[in-house]
Amino acid sequence: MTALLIIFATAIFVLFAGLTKNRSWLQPLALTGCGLALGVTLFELLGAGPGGWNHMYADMFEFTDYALAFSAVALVSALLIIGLSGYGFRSLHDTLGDNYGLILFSLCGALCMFSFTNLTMLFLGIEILSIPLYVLAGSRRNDLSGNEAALKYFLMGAFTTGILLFGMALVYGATASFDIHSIASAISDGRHSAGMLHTGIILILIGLGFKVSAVPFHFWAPDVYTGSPNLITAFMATVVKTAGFAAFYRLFSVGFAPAIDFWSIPVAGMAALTMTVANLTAIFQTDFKRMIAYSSISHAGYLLLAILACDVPGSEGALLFYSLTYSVATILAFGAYMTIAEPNDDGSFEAFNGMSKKQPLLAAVLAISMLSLAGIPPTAGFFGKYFLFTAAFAKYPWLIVLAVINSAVSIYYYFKIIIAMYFTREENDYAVVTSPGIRWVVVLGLLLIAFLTIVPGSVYALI
Amino acid sequence: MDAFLPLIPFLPLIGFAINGLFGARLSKTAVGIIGSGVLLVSFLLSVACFNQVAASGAIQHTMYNFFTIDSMRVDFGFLVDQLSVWMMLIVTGVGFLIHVYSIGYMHDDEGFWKFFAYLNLFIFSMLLLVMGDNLLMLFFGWEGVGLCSYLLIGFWYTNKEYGKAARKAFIMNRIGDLGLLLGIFLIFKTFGSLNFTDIFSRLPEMRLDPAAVTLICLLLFVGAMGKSAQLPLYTWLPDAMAGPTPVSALIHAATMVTAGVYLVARCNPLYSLSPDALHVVAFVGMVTSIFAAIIGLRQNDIKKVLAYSTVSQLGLMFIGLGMGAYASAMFHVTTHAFFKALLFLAAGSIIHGMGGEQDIRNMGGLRKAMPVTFWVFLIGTFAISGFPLLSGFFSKDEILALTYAHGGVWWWGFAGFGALLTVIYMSRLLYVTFFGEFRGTEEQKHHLHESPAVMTVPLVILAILSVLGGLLNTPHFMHLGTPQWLASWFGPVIPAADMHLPESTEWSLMTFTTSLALVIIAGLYFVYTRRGNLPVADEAQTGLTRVVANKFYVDEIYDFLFVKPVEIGSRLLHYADTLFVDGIVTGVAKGVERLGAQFRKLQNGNIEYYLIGMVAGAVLLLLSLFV
Amino acid sequence: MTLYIFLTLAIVSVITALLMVFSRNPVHSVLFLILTFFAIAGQYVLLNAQFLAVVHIIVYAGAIMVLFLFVLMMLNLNSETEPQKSTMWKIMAAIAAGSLLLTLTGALRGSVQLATPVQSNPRVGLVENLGKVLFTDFVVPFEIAGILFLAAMVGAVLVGKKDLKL
Repeated sequence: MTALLIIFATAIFVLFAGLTKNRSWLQPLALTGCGLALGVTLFELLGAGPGGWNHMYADMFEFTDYALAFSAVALVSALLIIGLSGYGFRSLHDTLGDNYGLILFSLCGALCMFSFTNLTMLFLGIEILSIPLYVLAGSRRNDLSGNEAALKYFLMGAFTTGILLFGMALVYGATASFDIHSIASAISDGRHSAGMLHTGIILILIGLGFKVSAVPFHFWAPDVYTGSPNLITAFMATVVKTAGFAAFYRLFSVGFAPAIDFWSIPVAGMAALTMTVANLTAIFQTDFKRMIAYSSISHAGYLLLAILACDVPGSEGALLFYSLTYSVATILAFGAYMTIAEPNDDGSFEAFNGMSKKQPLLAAVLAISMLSLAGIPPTAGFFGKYFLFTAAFAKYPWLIVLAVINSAVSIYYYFKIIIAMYFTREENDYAVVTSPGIRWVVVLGLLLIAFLTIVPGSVYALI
Repeated sequence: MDAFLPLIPFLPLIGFAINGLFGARLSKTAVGIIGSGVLLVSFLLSVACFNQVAASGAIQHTMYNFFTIDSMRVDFGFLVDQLSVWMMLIVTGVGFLIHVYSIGYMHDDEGFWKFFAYLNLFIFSMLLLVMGDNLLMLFFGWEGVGLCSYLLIGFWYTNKEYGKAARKAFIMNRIGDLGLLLGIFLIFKTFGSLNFTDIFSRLPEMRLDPAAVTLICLLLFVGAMGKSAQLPLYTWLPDAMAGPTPVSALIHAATMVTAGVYLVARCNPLYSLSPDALHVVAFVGMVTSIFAAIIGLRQNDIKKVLAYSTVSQLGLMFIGLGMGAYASAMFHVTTHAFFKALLFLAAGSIIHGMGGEQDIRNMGGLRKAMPVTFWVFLIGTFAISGFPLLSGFFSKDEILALTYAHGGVWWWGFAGFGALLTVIYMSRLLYVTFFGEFRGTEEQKHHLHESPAVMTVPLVILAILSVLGGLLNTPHFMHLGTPQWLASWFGPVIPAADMHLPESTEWSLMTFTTSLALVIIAGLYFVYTRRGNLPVADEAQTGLTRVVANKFYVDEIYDFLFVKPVEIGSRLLHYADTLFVDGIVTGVAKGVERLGAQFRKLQNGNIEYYLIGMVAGAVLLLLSLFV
Repeated sequence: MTLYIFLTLAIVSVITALLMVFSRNPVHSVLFLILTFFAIAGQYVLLNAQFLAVVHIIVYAGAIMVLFLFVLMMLNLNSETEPQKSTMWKIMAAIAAGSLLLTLTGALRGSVQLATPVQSNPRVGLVENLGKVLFTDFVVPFEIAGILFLAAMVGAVLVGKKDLKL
């Protein structure tokens, strides 16, 4: 809760600071806020914080280790993204404060989604997360594809919000409660109406499936990811995905746990479809951002395995670890991508040709993040996949076979970037424009990945 | 010793870090000394380890806890027992020689420092693979060596084909790794642990379903097939010859490709419970051994011949494993590391001397110009052919004898056939390259020279090892050297295979194969040098020879069977994407003045398509209510 | 009696909703939507949610729909400017929505009986009760909703603002 308050206060500060003439301290302000929130979260997480706070919030929030750990992941992602913003927002002037403000508001929504115990809070969290993003997706107002992205995101988001709300209403109707613990006990006691409950669960599944871009509710993702400003895409691919999955896992592992036999079938189907369709489509992409969009969809497929395995001990740790490594790798990839794509206005794979000579550091970072996303062992991404797959293996061996095959396929497109950077003779005369901010972020992210590679168990200790 | 144990793998990692970060600014001599120096120290430490293992048994050393999830505890720990210390000696010892050789071989390459950095990284991963005390560490190293192999095959990336070869190697290996990874998952599910010691100690008291054990063994074997280039996953290895020759010697002959053999030997308690899995292993090894040898008969690229020979020899090792002769297979791994590294390095010396020429049809008569290379190559060829008392003679013969004892005369016959094919293509290679008249260009003739000492000294050392290596494990009946020393060394890890053959049978088997080999060597000398029969040009080949020369068109078949369908599937999805999505996106990009029109189009077109797609998905999900 | 009122309101809301979708003229659509809202507000009254019914009319029918009408009139949209959708799309949309309706009805059929019937206190939906709940049990969501509205407002301002260099 402290983190939520800090982020909200920072957002307000930033909004007001944006009105002044000197905007150079907007980014430091946002960074400080996030850093402070992260510090407080880690402080509470490591057992030093005041206990028994959850009753202060009328059973709306529950600041368990789970919520705090995921908040920390989201805050780390936000810190890195805001670190990149000096570069990503360099063309913004008058609206800079509003942009930062909206990012921070969105983060508030994410923080609500980690700790909710009441469906009302989940709904509010999702909306607080989404509404600023609809605007941010179109924040480059002279850019047509950005406007298109924003409009599409908004229309489809509104559509699924309706479905989600309908699902929540049905679940309430079936169990007479919004509280996930009461819902769980109502389900296990048999004090519910089965048809209504199951329909409600399916509708909520659709709504959350849209948020985490699971097939067949993924259609928005490639267009919106491609059209939005790079920084916002990075935010959507990381913070939004983490928040979506954390809420998904929490709701299904706590609230709907007694009905697992029912919902595991559609979720397993979604997972299988998501991995396969996304990976096969990604092979054919020629544009980096579109490839990342499909890659992010395919990672949603792997993450769904954690939901399926939610009754296996260690699955929440697997989800946490995977979210963290995935987020860091994606942000690093975006950081490196921006330096080549933005100045030259070319996001294709060819733009990266010969990058290893122009910017060895950024090229190495991009290569490592690609390896991590592909799950190649020396990188942290391997542990993420390993944890997820072992958790789900006992119950869904065939799904894991499919997942392992898919992760092998994914190497094909991740390696396209590495080949372009390192193993291509044809060069281009593109300039790579970096900034100190990007270098800082990249080095920090790299250290984080190295740390996660060397002591992957440390993340498990958090939950 | 325990405190120094982590240094063995981490010294090469430090070497990688130094060369990788500062290599560009260091002199070539410094880079070479750092690169090989760390390996020398690792080797010496391995020798110390060897002494300690010999004195007081296996060493288990845990550095720290990787992670603990519920009941799964995985440590970053080392298990140095008789088996792994032996592999460490091979990896660091042969690795050191190849590093030294590379100083000469890569001297004029601008990526000199990068090369050494990658080589060191490879050694680090390979050491993790053999030293890890659990399957996850093994897998870590397993993928690490794959990655380094990828980097090194594509080292001369200016050639586009080389990059493709690198990617092919990586993807083929990944197919194998799928099996290994699934095997690891299954082992964890079955045993609740990934630690070798735990798994094998729990094995006797567990009443396991034989089918489950067979499945585990087969999955692990799929991994071994990928890494050790067995049929059908072998095609990457010949292509991997695109990398620099020391890489072929180190990775694709002496160390990495034997990781599969190591894996099976390491998991021998599991395999011994599953005769079915052993049959599969032996069968795959057999088919690979003969198949690759046949292809090797008609290759004209010196490195390709050696590559197919490696595939074939690995097949022989798997026959040994399949027969339960794990120690013999490891013995062959050892001798093979010596003579195949030797052959590759000698081939590198030839290529170096010939200024990059690899086609044996353009060589010939190199005997006089490159005497040292000639002699060591001769020794290598004789060793691999099983010339009496050379290393290959003992190791190959032991596998053949055990094949006879466990599999019967047919298995022995086929395995022996593969071995004889080896004699044929190796002698052909030797004669065509070193005898007869020089057939290269004038320029090459002028350039032709013996390699510098930094390259020939490792060659000579490897030649000596190839000659004497067999004495490590001579058969009992010959009363020579140290009978069955290696087998008894492995004893604590690998139970000895029972050899229940009468001595007379062993003698006659050995005499039979050896005399045939000698006849072939002599006969081919006559065919290739006296009568001057030379391999014909690719176009002039007809019929079966053409099929063989084209490697049975396996690559083309794979392309048709696997690559094309994936591409087509992907293409179909892509079209769906293009039709509905890209059409709109490209339209949108056309200009600000058409904003309104575009927006209408946008509302008209794809959003509806998306929404209908989502509704269809929703209907599908809701249908699960009625299941 | 309640059943008849319910049925009348339900039929009215469905018919007006359909008319809203099918009418060519956007202004007519808006007017039909307002009618739908009134019918739904009637349903709220039937459910003892009087406050909600009033708010529903004030906010949706009153404020939002009037805004819609203004926008439509300012942009001078009429039946000619409405884009024509191809028949194929209409059929596809009809099939998709139809099957959704079918599966939803199928899924919910037979489960209308509530597990725990809500006690029918006629005063439950009055401002007094609602206010009590909002400021006791649901005070946290109530406050958090503030963030949502603030974010939405900032977003709206950002959409309308020009990015000037200062």
